Amino acid sequence: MNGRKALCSLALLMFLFALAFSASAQEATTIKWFMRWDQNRVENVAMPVAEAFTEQTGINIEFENIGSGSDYYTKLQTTVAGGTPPDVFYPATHVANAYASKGALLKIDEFVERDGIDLSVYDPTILANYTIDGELHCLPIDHAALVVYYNKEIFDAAGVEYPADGWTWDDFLATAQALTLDTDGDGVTDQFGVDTFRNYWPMVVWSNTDRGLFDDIRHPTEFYGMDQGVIDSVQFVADLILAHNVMPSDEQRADISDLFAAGKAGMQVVGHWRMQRYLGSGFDFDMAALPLGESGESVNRADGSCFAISADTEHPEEAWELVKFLAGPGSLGVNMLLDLQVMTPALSEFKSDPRFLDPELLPGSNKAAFLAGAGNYFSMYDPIHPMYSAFDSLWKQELGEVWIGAATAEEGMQRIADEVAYILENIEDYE
Amino acid sequence: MAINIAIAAPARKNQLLDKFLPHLSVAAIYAILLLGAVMVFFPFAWTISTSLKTEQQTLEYPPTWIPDPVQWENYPDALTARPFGRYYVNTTIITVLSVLGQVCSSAVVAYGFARFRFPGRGVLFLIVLSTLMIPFHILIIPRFILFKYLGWLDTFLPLIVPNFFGGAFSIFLLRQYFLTIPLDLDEAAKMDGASSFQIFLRIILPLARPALGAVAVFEFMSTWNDFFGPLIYLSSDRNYTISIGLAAFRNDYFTAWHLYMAAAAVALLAPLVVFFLAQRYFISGVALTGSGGSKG
Repeated sequence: MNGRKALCSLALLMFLFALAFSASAQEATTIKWFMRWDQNRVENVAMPVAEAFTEQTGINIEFENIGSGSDYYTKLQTTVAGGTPPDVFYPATHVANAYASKGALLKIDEFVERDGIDLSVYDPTILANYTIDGELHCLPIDHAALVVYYNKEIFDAAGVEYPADGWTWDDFLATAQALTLDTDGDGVTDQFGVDTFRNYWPMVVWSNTDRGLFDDIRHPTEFYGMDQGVIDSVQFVADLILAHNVMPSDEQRADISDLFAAGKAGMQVVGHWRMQRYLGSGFDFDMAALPLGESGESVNRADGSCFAISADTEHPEEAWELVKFLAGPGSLGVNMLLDLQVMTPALSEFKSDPRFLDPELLPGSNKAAFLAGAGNYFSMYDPIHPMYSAFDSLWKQELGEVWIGAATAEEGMQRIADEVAYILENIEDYE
Repeated sequence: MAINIAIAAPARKNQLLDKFLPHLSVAAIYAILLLGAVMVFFPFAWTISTSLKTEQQTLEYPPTWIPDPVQWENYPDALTARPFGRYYVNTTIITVLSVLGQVCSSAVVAYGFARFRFPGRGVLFLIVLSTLMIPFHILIIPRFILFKYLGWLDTFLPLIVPNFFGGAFSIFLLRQYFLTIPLDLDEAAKMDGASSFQIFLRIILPLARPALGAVAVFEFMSTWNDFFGPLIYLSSDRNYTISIGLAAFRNDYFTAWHLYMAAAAVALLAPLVVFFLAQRYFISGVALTGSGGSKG
């Protein structure tokens, strides 16, 4: 009797288990998608894309967004280290590489091959950013191409010609000088030629030397900091502040987030991401390609962001479907982003798209300026190596002295070069 | 005659000084207080001013104080941009329970340290205090993993429950205060047949109200303003707190300052109300922390 009872309970238990399992098997898979977008993109891209994705695939999405990059990465790092990473996330180039080097990103080559995705539709330099030792780790969505935005009204008022194709840094300086004004004659500059872009100094270096700061972006062995071209480029940026006073110093900016948007600077060197803001500021503006340097080559930034899959995901197939949906060729994600005018796409097919080149929001504008420099793309985070964070704090400190005139570019670069030599000698400590 | 004058003159001078010196020192004190008040009030006034500006005005250079036109719509715009009502409720639940947990548990532990002799008491107290020295950052991932195993991620529990295990600073503060309460009171109660727990409830706690209030206010402030904890542990919009909601107005490229400040001004209301209600305790709390060491 007892044995039969036990058998019965066992059978009942098994039945219940089977029931529970079949129930969970029928439940739709949910994947976590973790982003760092602004509200505009959350509402106008992320939400509709997620909805369309669920409708099409039956896969549910749990969406989370943290707008500030530093907070986003703190949380991402904690969840990855804690073993509960989001399935799909959105790292910038250097972060993607750091995660990939620790094995935290799922390699997607097999998926790409299986689904027959033609990678040649991506810009090769941009794709190379995410290809480590021949293996692709994520699908890029954009690159942070820089342009010179200019306020047409300020140009017209000063009687200055709009920037022409093929303008040089000398033309840039002359233009900035003509736009810098002390309108009330009190000896204080009221309108600057250009808002500060000193943190983009490597871009001036590329244009003058047509190469990055290190000999090898992934395995650096030599630093070019003491090349005359590099020193001159840094001094040029410092002189915009110190000698020519066409770019504001920290005191002169007084913590205003964007002097160009405030109508107090004639030009601004920045990427696509500020456009929405300028569209809202009510003045007439356009874009010009970055000026040419000594090398005569047009250059631009290659680094941007990509959609990556966690190596620990329980749903690699579903996560890949979402990545394809967001950043794959012809994907809905890129299409919607394009309409929003918030990024320069990494996919070549969209670069010639009239929605990108001639948007309704900006009729007749020179959107092609964002595409200048193709073939000469460089990463702002150079080298793409774990030692970058040490290099980053180093140049910020030493060039900080140069920007205020406490050191010349040569002195600053010398100090950086000395430290970098030490770092490169002990590079395995950073890996 | 000459001597008289010589004596009278300094005397008059002294009288003058005696008469004006108190006024002068009062004036100096008021001047310093006024300066302090202005410094404290400045960010608050700037918050209110910015919260009533248009987006374009927040960028104005040089910045202006008085918004023109006054943009009252910022408040409804900001508060409806995200479900701030929900966030307010969430933050209130977390804060009230955290304060309750922190005060109750720390008081019990502090009572133990202040009133009982047991072997290892000094060492144990030292261990409790030494937890103050552990850098917060090295705890992030172990704690996250712990809460993951408990299945508490994306719930309020990781933000509330740890408070029920006392806090070193609160324990220290309360212990020092308990030590200033005369032992005679305990002994008298014991004579009347009170147990240790009754002494704690009926004698110590009522007498320690200022210290308990101070602990509660400190805990309130830190929990209400906490950004990092909710950022790490909460991931659904329905569970977010105000500080996470505020962050939605901020990203790497752009901050909608006018909306951010409007929402921040509303978020300030609760701490303001608490401050006015608990002002007395808060001030005495400052005095306690300032002189806590010497009282023990």
